[in-house]
Amino acid sequence: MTGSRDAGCRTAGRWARAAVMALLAGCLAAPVVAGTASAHVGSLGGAGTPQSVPFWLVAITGGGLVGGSFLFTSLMTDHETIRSVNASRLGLPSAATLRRVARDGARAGGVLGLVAVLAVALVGPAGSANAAVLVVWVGWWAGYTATTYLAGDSWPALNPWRTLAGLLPERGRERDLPDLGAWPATAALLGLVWLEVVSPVAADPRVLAVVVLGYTTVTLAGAATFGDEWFERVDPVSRVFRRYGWLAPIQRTDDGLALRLPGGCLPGREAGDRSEVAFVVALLWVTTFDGLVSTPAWNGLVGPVVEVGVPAPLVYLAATLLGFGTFLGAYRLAARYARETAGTYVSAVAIECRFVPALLPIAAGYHLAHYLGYVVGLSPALVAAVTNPLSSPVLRAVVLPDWFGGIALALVVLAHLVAVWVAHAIAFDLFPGRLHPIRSQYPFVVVMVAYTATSMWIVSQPFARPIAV
Amino acid sequence: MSQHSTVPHDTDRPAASAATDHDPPETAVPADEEPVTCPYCGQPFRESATRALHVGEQHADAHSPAEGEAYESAREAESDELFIYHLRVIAALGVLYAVLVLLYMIVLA
Repeated sequence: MTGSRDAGCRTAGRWARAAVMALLAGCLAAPVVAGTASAHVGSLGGAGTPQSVPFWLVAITGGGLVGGSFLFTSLMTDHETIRSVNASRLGLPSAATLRRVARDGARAGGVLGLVAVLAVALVGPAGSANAAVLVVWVGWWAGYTATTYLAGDSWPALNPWRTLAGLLPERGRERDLPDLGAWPATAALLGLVWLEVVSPVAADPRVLAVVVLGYTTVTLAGAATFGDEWFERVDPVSRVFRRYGWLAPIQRTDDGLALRLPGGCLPGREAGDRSEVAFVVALLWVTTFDGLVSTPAWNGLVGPVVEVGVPAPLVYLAATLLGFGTFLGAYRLAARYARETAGTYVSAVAIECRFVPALLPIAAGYHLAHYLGYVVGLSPALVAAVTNPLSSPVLRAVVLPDWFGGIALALVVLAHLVAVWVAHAIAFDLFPGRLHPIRSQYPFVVVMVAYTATSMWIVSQPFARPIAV
Repeated sequence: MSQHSTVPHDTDRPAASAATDHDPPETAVPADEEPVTCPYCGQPFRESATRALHVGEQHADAHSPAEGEAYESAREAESDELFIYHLRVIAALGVLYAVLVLLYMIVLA
């Protein structure tokens, strides 16, 4: 004890001497740094009323500050604390941690979004100004879908039903899905779009809540029975976003994400079988059908049939299936003729499967043309409704300038140009030489020219509320 | 005859020709036709010129000198045909342009 106290006294004495030395050193240095110090003081002119301080006092203050800080640090004598101060650090989280946080955030956001939509749809104000209606149709089906082909498919991370299915208790072995290919997804996609057209699900929040609850029940039951395969193969929504994701510039690769030209990796893709071809054709048809039913010509066609006494939902169902059948038939016929014009033994099914990615830019372009004005126009209403979900705001919309319709037409044409390029690349990948690939595209070009003209006509039509639904 | 020609499948295709990594496409040959087939992957073709083009493009590092020559001559013949074809394409573009211009002139007059 005594020894340590002696040592303490000696140390204290050394510190005192050192402090005095530091002060003296400060005084001695005063004339040298005086000029600089005054300049610095002068530069703080705006800080307050300038007071004239003699140079030597400025210099002594500087020295005193250094000396004083030494005295302060000397109060800290614990080795551990000194080490811990120097060892403290701020590290960036690793890529794996960031990915996990982003994934968990997306999952939580998706589930919260679903719960919020359901809650607001059930208890919020009635009518199409309800926040849930706007979020689902403007925010999600129009806006979010556009991000899956303009940026990349983020749905596997965001999909609230997938997250919820992961939380379900394990029920032993999952059953294998019966081998129906993409047919169930195709039927479900056509069914959902038919429901959207014939029911007030796009305007009535209560109906929307029922449809979302129904979809939730079916999806969770399917995922609980068949596991993740359900989202890979049966769930139409996941499949739509996955197919649109093929077109996107951001692509997932084995070592992270890659930036590609939009549509650049489409020639590298192909449909696995005829059912997957049918799904892509159905995707193209439903985007077209969505626009077709709101044209005056459509009303003129359906009106008399409904007046005769045929129930309107039945007419729309027949039209949905007939249109899909026509599109699929035209595409298959084109593939069969392509076999002839290309002079090849490659089977018509193989040609269908390889060329079908070329339809995706058209579906995406048509979706964008159809919904761009809708999203831009209703975005103020969406923001107003989301920030105040339980009150009933006035549905405000941006009045779009006249030239906006030209953008929609240009998008349709642009999408077809991308499709022509993709089909060209696919043909050169599939057939040898240079003339055979070109000739293989003849039947597809004929079908596409007819389709372009039809879809441009639909996009340019004035909006008419579908009658009798 | 190069030794590679007997072991076509263990050679790496050059990156340039392997634009995409699809499997060989499924084919269907009518029962009454006798196709020529690729000696490396077995794909059937209607004409030997098409097969020569296929071998030259897809099996560039495996084929024999004779097949190389067949590829060159098939490509040569195709180039001649392609020249005529391009003339027709230009003519068709001209017609398309003229028809559209005429239509606009009539409609806007």
